[in-house]
Amino acid sequence: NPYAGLVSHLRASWLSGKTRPMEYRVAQLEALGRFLDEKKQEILEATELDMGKPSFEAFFSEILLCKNELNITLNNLCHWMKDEHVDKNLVMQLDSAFIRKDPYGVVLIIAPWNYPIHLFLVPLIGAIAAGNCAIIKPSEISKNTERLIAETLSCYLDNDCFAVVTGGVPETTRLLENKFDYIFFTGSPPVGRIVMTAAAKHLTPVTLELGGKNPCYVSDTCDVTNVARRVAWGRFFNAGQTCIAPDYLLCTVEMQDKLMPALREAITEFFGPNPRESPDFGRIVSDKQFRRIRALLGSGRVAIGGQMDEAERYIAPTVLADVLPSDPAMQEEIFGPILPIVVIANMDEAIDFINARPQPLAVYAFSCDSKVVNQVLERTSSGGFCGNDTLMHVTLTSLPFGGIGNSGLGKYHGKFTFDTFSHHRGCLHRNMGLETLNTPRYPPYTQQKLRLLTTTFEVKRRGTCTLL
Amino acid sequence: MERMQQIVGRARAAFNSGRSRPLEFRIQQLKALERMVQEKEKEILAALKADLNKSGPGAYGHEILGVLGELALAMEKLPSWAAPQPVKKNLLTMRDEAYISYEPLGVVLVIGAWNYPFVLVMQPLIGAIAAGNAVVVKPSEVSENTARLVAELLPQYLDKELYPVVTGGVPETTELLTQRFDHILYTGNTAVGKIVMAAAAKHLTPVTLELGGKSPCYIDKDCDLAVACRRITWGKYMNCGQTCIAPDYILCDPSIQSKVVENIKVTLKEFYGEDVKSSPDYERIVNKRHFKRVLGLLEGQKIAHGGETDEASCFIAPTILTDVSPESKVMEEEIFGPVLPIVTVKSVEEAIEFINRREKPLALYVFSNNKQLIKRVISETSSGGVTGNDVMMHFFLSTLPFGGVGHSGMGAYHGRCSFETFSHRRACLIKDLRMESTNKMRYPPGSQKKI
Repeated sequence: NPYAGLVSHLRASWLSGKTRPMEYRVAQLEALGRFLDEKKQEILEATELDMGKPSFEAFFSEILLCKNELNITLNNLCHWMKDEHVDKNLVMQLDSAFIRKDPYGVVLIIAPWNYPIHLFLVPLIGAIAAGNCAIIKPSEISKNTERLIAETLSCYLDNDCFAVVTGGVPETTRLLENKFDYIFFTGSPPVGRIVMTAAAKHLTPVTLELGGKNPCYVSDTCDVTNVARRVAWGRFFNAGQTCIAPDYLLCTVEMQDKLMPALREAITEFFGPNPRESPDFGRIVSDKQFRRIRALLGSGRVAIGGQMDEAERYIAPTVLADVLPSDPAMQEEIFGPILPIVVIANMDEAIDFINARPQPLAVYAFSCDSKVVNQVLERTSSGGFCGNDTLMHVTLTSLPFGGIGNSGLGKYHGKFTFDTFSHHRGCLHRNMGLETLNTPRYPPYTQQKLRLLTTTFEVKRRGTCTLL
Repeated sequence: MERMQQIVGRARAAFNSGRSRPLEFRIQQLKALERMVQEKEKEILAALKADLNKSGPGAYGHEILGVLGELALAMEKLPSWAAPQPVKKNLLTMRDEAYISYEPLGVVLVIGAWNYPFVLVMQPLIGAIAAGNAVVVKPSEVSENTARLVAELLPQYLDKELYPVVTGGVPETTELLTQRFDHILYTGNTAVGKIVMAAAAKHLTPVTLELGGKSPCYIDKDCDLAVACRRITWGKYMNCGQTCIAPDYILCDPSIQSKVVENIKVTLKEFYGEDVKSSPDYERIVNKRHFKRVLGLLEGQKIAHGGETDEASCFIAPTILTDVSPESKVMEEEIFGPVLPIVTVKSVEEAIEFINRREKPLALYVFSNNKQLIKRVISETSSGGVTGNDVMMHFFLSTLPFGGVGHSGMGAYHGRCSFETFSHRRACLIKDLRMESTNKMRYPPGSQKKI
């Protein structure tokens, strides 16, 4: 087992207790902040090399959003770490009852390639804040960022408690043979299953941030220009390689006709007449992904875009019209800059369409009529929901971010990350005196004792009264 | 075996119909459960007596009371638990609606255990119904009378399609686990917990595993031994030691070992009289297999008290072992029987080290007059839950999450925690379709100014 030594080294550090004091956690978190500040240029460059990530986008998702999470955590850590006192029942009035936030121990964070800094760093913030040691496994597909993380993170964090492991599938498989106290995985559902199966062998709890096809319903009553902008922004950000991107659009044929020129205009506004020359439009991360996405173009008809360049791994912002549910683009998560439009007759049909498919990470609905937005929300199920916009719900850290069903289990962001990496331990610290109060619970059991027990333990519905 | 597919399929269709979602429906079902417990109290107590020789008041106090309490709490609090929870907004979302919506997960599987066969099926069921799910209930076949009763009663009181009961043993449970559920709550042992999680992984089903382990009980020299030992005796020998949160073994200084034994002996007489076997309040081991298993743990041990057995009735007397070696069989597995080993340690440091060398237990107990010492033991160890200066009582406070960590389990339930365990917390952000100008700064073309 090639990683056994590393894991046991981290476990020894964990057992020494050094990651537990708040000062230590704050110091490590501040070091992560310095990493983001000092290595900003390198991060922008590495992500540009990996997937042509526009520096505006990279700054926003890899630096700004991460710094926000860091600051929210640093601002609130003291409060989050405190024992949470809970309401007590009658019998325990003189006791101390609280929930402790205990670290788990040695955790594993497996990150994907599409937001390669953000998707390891934000979980890591929570893991450190909660007092754990961590092994970080960045994706080998975003190889420049992988190298950057492997080479520089160790200059900032305590190497006895935090380590980076690089490699591909074989290395990750071997890594997963070890016992971890928590595993946080972001990636695809099939690999999510493999991770959870490996975790089951050690009874390791997991958070799985997976994916799916995020539907975007556009009703007939809406401001077409604004819808087109918000949808185009969400779809083409990072060249479509975003787990919460609107994957496909559902609307009536009339709306499809109205949307098309608006989408065309939005794309031009964002990326100019030739997006290939825009510094603000990314590239596909690998040849394998490029070929996969290219194959999806044989769906419906290309209404906007469709141009490609394999050498550059460039796929133009593309909109497909009249796509059928049986078309290739509707068989898998697109994860590319292609927006299929599937025509439906009305909202009910759209909702049925969504519910006939696995639960996605996000559902989007656009309408000037708030009742329509609420209907879609109430009658569907998804990790999260955003009405009248795309992606934005994940930038609000007071909202939990996670999937359901095939799109994942668990949640994080903000305090939820801290909670994810903490064991919530129920503690009752009782009084050694007042032993007579305990008499009703001891044998020999009698009806009289039972009546007493019932009176003191019972939760009564409001509207009734108990005389002691 | 298509039977399982049909049962689960029917539950899913029933869930998809949407009828389990309105709060009125959920409360109506919970009320029906409450009626069931009240009307069928005699039958429930009879089943518990047949399965584990639990006495009437004992069974009522340990199983029925808790269920009624949980039902009353859920019915009272459901509207507030289920209400959308607005969240703190940032500058960009100031004018938007941002909240967490509590939604049912879908079809939930509850697998019960045999030691508290009624409450361990009912308490999860209550939470799952309160959260709006369909629930497939699989009581333990080992406590066969209670399993049979639950299978008879639930369809008489609850919606038959939404809340089916499946009975059977390992083959039936294995078949059931091939179906897709939206959450599985399993109470039982570590080995089967792994099997349940592996089966759940195939469908990416989240799990709550309430497992077990050896819950240590540290007795400090500085404490009221009489009180401590009374409380420990209560917890250890309740249900003949077959309690997942029973104090499994004692750690104490050698100088107080014999006093501990004496105090427990006195308490045992107080609780069960001179002849334990004839006390109506002392239970039996659930079956011959477990009887033989627990008996085997006594081999080679110094029996300071007890040790009498009667295979015919699966009776094992309350037993105390002294000077137990950490390497012995009784210290390897969860005892789950009325055998209390005492392992001596010279200091609290040694006790903490001893505990930390082993798998994380479901519960941890520490008795001391010294508050700082108790705080220290808690902060330097890890366990599902803790009770200081008593045993098991943290289980009875519904505002505390009840669950394990590491080998003792994952996830938690009880009270509001049950509701949250069986709910999906969906992030909802509703923006205005107008006010586009605030969005302009995020759109390309990017520029330094926008940043």
